[in-house]
Amino acid sequence: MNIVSGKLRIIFVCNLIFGMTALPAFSQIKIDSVIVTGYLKGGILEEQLVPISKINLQKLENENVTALKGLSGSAPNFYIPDYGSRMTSSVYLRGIGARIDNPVIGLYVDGIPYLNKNNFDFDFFDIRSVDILRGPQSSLFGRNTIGGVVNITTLSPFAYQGTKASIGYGNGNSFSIQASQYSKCNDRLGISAGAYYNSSDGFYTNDFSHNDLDWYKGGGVRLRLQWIKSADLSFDNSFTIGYLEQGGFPYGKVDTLTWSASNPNYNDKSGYKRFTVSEGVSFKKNLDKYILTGIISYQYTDDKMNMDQDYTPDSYFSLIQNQKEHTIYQDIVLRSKEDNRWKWLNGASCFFKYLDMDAPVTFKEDGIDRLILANANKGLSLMFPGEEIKIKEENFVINSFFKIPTYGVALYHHSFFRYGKWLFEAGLRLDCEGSHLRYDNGADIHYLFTMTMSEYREIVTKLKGNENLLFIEILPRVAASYNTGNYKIFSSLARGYKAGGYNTQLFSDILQNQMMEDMMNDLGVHLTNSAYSAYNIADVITYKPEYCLDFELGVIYSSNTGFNFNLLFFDIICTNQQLTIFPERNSTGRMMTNAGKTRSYGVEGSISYNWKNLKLYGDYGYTDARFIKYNNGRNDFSGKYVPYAPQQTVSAGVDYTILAKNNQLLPDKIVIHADVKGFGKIYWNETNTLSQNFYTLLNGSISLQKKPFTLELWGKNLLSSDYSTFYFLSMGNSFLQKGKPLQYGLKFKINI
Amino acid sequence: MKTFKTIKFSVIIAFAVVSFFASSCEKDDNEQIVITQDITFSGRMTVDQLDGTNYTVNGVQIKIEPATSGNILTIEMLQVSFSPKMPVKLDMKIQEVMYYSSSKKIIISGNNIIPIAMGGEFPAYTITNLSGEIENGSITLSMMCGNYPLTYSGTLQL
Repeated sequence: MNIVSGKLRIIFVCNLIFGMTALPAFSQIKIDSVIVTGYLKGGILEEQLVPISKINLQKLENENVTALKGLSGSAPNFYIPDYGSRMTSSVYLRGIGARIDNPVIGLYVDGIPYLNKNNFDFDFFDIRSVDILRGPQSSLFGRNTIGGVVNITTLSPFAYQGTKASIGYGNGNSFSIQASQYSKCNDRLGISAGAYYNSSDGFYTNDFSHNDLDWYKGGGVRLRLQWIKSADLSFDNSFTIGYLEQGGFPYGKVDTLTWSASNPNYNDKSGYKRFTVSEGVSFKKNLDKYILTGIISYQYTDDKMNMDQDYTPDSYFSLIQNQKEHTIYQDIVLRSKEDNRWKWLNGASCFFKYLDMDAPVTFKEDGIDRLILANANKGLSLMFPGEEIKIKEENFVINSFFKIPTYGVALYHHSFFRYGKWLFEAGLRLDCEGSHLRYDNGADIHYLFTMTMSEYREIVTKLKGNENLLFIEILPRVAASYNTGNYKIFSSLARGYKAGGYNTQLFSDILQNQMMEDMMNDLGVHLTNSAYSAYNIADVITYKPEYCLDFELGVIYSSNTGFNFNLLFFDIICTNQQLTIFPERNSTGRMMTNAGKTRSYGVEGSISYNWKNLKLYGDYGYTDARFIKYNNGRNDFSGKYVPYAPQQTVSAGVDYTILAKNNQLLPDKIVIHADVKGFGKIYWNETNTLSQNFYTLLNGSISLQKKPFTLELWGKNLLSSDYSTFYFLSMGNSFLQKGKPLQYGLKFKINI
Repeated sequence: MKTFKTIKFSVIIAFAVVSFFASSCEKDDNEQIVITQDITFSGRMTVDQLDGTNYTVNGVQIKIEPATSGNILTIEMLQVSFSPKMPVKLDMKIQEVMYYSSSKKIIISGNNIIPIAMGGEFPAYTITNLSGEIENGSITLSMMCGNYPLTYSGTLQL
């Protein structure tokens, strides 16, 4: 492989390999067309009629995108609020989203699916491109692609050879360093290896400890090997190890009168750490009349979250959540090779994942006194003044162990039929998914009623059991387009599917209630107006799949003059939409509930214009997502906006490149970049009484390039806009996370 | 040799009740009825509130638990409240209650018994002047619970 010479101009020809049209790249890279990877479904996407937002390497660098959350707004109606920790990746697309458990988008990195949402927020490192496919992709990709698919491709040793390194420093004591080597051993073998390390003190301080709250450090290694065995057979192997450790959860209590959030102020340790291993091998085999592609991958995730669940200086309770997950995935696609009117694709897919989770909740002094004993003694103190129930332990642990194996198998077919200027598409996927939950929860405490008992009595509460889920789904899609040359009009109708699951996070709450009941039963006391009415476990432990029916109508215009735009209207009916709620009472557990029915409609538009050294681009999304039917038994939310999803996303940017004449002293090139992103309005609750108004973030960078060096000054939220990224209500207290303030830094890069 | 006598149950008591009660109560050689297993009644409890009013609760269950030896039983009042002001319901046990039986009914009596509730003794509500009888599948009780007169009447539960 050879880099095309001259001012870092590398031609990016990837359509034959990855099924993409060439990007209007700033740095262009040429790739041998015989390579192949298991990119998505073996390149079929060049035919598929799906709105795709493509973010290339140059845009990622100009916007200083370091993780998936940085792509919020880069595609219309695509929003990932930055809150909590790296474990938190709540993706919203077109008003559909999920805060916990199954995501609404599928994430693929070099063809390897990230089935666990906990892994979504990883450090970007030599990422070559990100494609965001909007709208349900379930007919090809199956589960949890109800909102779309994000496909990330890393830099390939066949695309680039040389050494890349960078070091950066910014406010918040943020530091980054990375280095990688891309080599092409011969025409058939390419190898790359890279490593990075990032750290930061963060931007929030805990008023309780006066320590940095959202500090971060993480690193990783990626090895990639691409082998063209013959003209007809090639392999691509990607191996990644990542580790991170951080503080987190900078949630500040809200003064409900002034609606102002105070600084985070809590006493228990909170943070997150994660170790991941990802390995995937994809292949491409050219047969006489067909092309066979496939991928097999394995992922291991070992993470641990500590959380002060009450987020106050008081000692209520804290949570530790340890998870170990193994995932194996395989996908094989056979597609037609010849360029006939009728092209088709047949695929088979399967996965198995095994989650082993240990999530002990420690009840502490204030939690025992104010949540458990206060309720228990409320009635007794009226009857027997001066008498009370006591619990011997200063702290006690509610242990929760879960083992969740999940498996899935699927068969799918897509056909494309071209007739004149028309292109028709029809696809169908049969998806079968099953899972089993084995739970074993327990607590052991000693209690005493001062009036009648002289010694503490032991209460052992156990909650053991099994649950099973099985979903068999048929996921169709039809689409058509009419291509006039510059204009392409297209329309599609598709069904999306998001798997159901288990409310494991509610178990500590369930057990706490069970423990109260056991203690009262042992005491022979029956509360007449109990705040501890027991959960019906069968009702709350599982939630059902979510479905949507998506209709789209759009137009794409592209010209040779550098002006491109697309405009799209969508209308989605979503049934059994999964929403996260905090259960009533003094509860801190979260649970997923199927919210009934919602409708989400809106428009999306993208525009780009290239003129000489100037590039302008913009993306706009508007979504009106409301409940058609949602009655939680206490309130009817019909007509209300779906919370947490923004009504609008805006992204607009400009890049201007100044090319210098050959001069030893001046830079070869100066790239000036500015962009603005906007989000909102975002409602925080189902009653739509609390919200974040539309806000904008101004970002920019200036980079000076003198081959082979680049010096970049970058800034984010340059105007220090004041906004919130997350709200929740817990134990009657409101909490907000404020958005990050002004961030800026300097980065030095070298590409040899 | 045993003599067999028929216990005359009220016509409103079903044959099943007869069978159950017969299985729960056996007659010994002296023609006395001996309670051999737990039996439960449901009925009405009335507590004089000492302010000119009575507090009456329907559907109150009491369980009669025989001791392993002797004519002693325990009366357990399940989920009861003794005043409209009580925010909780209690299970209360009256232990060491004496009983004797004739061929027709069981006579219950007791005095100065400290009830057990909420994990221990409740001397403030010492039971005095306890009397009652079980006949034809029905039970009647009267007692002083502390200073509060209490009466109960119920029927056998299957």
